[in-house]
Amino acid sequence: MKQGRLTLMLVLLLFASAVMAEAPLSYAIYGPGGRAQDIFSTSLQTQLGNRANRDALSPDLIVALGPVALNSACESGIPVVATQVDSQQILAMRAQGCLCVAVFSHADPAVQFSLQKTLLPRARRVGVLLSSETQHLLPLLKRYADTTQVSLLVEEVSDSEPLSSALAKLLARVDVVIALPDKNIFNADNARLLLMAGYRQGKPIIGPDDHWVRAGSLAAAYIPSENLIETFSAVMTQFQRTRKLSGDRYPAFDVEFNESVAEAFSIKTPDDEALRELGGDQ
Amino acid sequence: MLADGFLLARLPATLWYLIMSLGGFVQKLLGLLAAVALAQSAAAAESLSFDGDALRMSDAAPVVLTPARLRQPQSQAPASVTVIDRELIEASGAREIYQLMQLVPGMAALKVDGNIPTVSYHGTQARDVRRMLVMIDGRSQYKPGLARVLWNDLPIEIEDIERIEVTRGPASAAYGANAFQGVINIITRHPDDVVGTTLAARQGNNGVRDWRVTTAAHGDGKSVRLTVAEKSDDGYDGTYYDDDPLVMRDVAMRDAKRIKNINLRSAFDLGSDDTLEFLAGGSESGLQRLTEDSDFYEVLEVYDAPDEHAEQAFAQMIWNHRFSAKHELKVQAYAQYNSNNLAFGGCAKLPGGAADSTGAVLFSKEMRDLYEANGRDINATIAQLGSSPEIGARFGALVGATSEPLCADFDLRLQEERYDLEIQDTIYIDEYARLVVGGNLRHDRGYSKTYTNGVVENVSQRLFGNLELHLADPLYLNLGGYWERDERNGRYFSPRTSLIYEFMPSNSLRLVASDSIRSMDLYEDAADVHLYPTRVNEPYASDPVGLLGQDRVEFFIVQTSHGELTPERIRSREIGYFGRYRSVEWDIRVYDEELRDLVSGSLSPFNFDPENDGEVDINGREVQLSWRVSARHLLRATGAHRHTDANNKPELRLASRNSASLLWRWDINDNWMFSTSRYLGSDYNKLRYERTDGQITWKARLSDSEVMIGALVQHDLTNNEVVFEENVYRDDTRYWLSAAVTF
Repeated sequence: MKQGRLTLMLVLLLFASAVMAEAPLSYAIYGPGGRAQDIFSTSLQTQLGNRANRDALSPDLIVALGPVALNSACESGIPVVATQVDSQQILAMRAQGCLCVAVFSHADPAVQFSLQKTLLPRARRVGVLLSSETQHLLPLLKRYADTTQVSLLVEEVSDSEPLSSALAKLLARVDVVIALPDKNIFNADNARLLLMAGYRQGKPIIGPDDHWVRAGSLAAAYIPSENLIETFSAVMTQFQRTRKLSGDRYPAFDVEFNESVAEAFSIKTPDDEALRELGGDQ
Repeated sequence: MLADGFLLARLPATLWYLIMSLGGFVQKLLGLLAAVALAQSAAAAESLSFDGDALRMSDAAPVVLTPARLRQPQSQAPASVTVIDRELIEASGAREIYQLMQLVPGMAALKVDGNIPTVSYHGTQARDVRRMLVMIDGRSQYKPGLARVLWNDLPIEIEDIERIEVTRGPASAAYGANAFQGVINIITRHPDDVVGTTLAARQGNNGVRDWRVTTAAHGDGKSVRLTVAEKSDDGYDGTYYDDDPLVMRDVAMRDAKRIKNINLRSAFDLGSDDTLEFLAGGSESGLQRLTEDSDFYEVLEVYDAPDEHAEQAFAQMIWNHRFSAKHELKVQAYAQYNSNNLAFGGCAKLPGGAADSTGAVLFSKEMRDLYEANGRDINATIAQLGSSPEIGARFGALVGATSEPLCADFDLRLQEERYDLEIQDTIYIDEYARLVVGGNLRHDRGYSKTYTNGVVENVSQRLFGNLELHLADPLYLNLGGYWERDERNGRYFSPRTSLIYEFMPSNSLRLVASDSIRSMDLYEDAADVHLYPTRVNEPYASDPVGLLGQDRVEFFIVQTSHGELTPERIRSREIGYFGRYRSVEWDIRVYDEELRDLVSGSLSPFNFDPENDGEVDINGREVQLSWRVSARHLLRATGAHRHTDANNKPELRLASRNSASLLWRWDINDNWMFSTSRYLGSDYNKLRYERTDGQITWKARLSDSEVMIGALVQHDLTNNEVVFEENVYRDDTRYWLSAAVTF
């Protein structure tokens, strides 16, 4: 009889812990608002299903869209998963005690270097433009350049060195330019200047994302939206189960390639196998 | 494959995603919406107003844009094209622009007339080269008065050139008259691409002394580049034995030159769909000329050796407007001015005699009458000098009146002006058809007391179009035509048809049939040559009627064009193969050309033969090969073999049966570059031409500056003179050192 009670208690305990473990995660979304945020929220919720619920009042976790939202979220003392931020921003917030991780919305620059090597194996001088937003990447970029056995040439854009001047200096010395996700440089206002200058001088631009490829850069590794959502979902689900945040994540990337631009630069279209070898799951 | 690329690249972002998501799940669709929204919220590239089509429409991309006025991959262009980019320009070590043309298969590029370069594709005549169009940023360098291109005076420095596209073969279908055997399209560096200020200098043997200052400034949506430069050299500095019976001695060549030029290019972004460019510049040149080579050598004892002075100026405006990603308008207007003056001074003498008063008879009425009575045959007139009683009487009067020879200066001056307005509309009809159409209005004006005895003008109207049809995946058809009407040459239509079979990516066979014309220039059509001396000495200046029988001192020779010359015509048929495999690129051209109604005779005042009686047939084959051996090595080779038949000798002077070039560039490391090249012409005027160059440069960044130091050696491998006997270097080797600093 005692044995029967014990068994029943164990079953109930297991059932209760299972119920407790799968209790929906409550989360809030911080962001600039607007239609973009609405659509993101909807798609994320769809992906999460009944594993999580929006709860703006007492969330277990905050999803932050952009650096401003990340700042606000960190002030709450609640764990944060952020996107549209760069590694420097997330590190800075962590240093201030914020419990946060990033799901990056851009591909790892290392992948852009690998892509460059695949597309232009004979290029030996790779140029990058850095601003205050991306200067911290320099040691990392040097390491990538060493790995892919190219010379890295850098020009910094600043108040005293406008983009047009830095770009002209850079293009004169390099075979190809790798564009980083730096909104100070690679933004809509500068697209014409960057792409036209690269074209005129026969220096292709790789990166920073698929939109730029459609605008005229040669190719880019980028994060498809569904991969971003899936990664968010995975990070949040893991948090729901473990109450712990994993490390920063790069979602799986895809490669966008502009055949017309490649033709203009006399660059052979890469076969799918070569692109697959870059690896899409980071 | 390519068509797919065109299509996909032009799809709006959302549609692209939809295609990618076909058969996908709702969450994927939501993901796509999220991505679009995210990008919007980040105000990032998704809102780029600039798209891939804009690049295809622009002049920027490194495909070819000259043959059909459309940007096309070289494998789809309706002609053979040689592209000379900055990498090749640097590797060539060329100091003057014409030297770059030695890298083009089938092109003769030599200093034929002392310091005056001749550049001729499928060279025929050595002098009076006028069968190819040269453009700088779309501005014709072909002169309207005396048809020619003044390579010395191109108002641009070689360092300001971004690339040169040479369309090999008739291209009047795209550029109208005078794109007869080809088009050289020089595209200068955009001011956005030039940074800082560069000070450069070059010095070597052969009197080489050059300097250049280039500076650029950039602002918000505007930029400007300015170059000021000067170059000089001693030209052919050797001596030659002149076996002319009137000379019969060693003669030191006299062909030093000094050229200054200034060039400005500015660009303004007027919003996302409009750009405006303003270009201006000019040049000034001073060229020594050889006295013994002058037509006047027989009749003048020259005391002031001939010097040619030229001035050029231009202003140009280009406005580009983008109606949409598939529709663009370009409006271009320019004005340019050129003044040439060949000045020399001497005292009149009879052929074979010394300067004394009897020489003044060459400026007398009786001499003119005798010349006219002999049907303007100069030799017959000279031969009758001793037998004509009227001339004898004039001799007596002159000797009785004075012992002073008639001494005077001659200023053979010609001024040319061109005003040109062109509108060009480019439309992507769909992924299978592209069309460029346009119109051009041009006013040419020449003024010369010597050559045309006043002002001569010509107004022309033109319409042009080129349709590119992608008939099937591997098949492209290009139909082009240029209709023009001008007051002096009438109406003409120049067509071109080309069929391109791209049997694998970047590998295509092409069949091209094209007709072109060279219209008669103002001089050919309306020559009215009068040689009036200036600063005539006494007593001739004050009493021309008493001493010379006419009220104005004038040399007896006059020439008049009959005004019935018709344009020269060329019909060309070509089979070509452009190919690319990995890092090797090649182009092979096999062609047959018929040149008819050529004005082959000289049109100098002393030898004036304006007839459309020249005929030339040329057939041959050409190959150009470029191999990027590795990231640091570039090999490039060209070769041409041809047969030329002509019904007159002058048209064969530059008809070298074989010509070739070979170039190797080695970027030793990021600082050092070595290059070497070799050029061959088997028989220019029956003389072999062979030269090899070697160059090494060092470039490095020092603090905020970039420093370049270089040395180049040119060595003649043959001891022959170049084309003509007087073109001799004292030393087989020429060298110079260069230095530049950019800060």
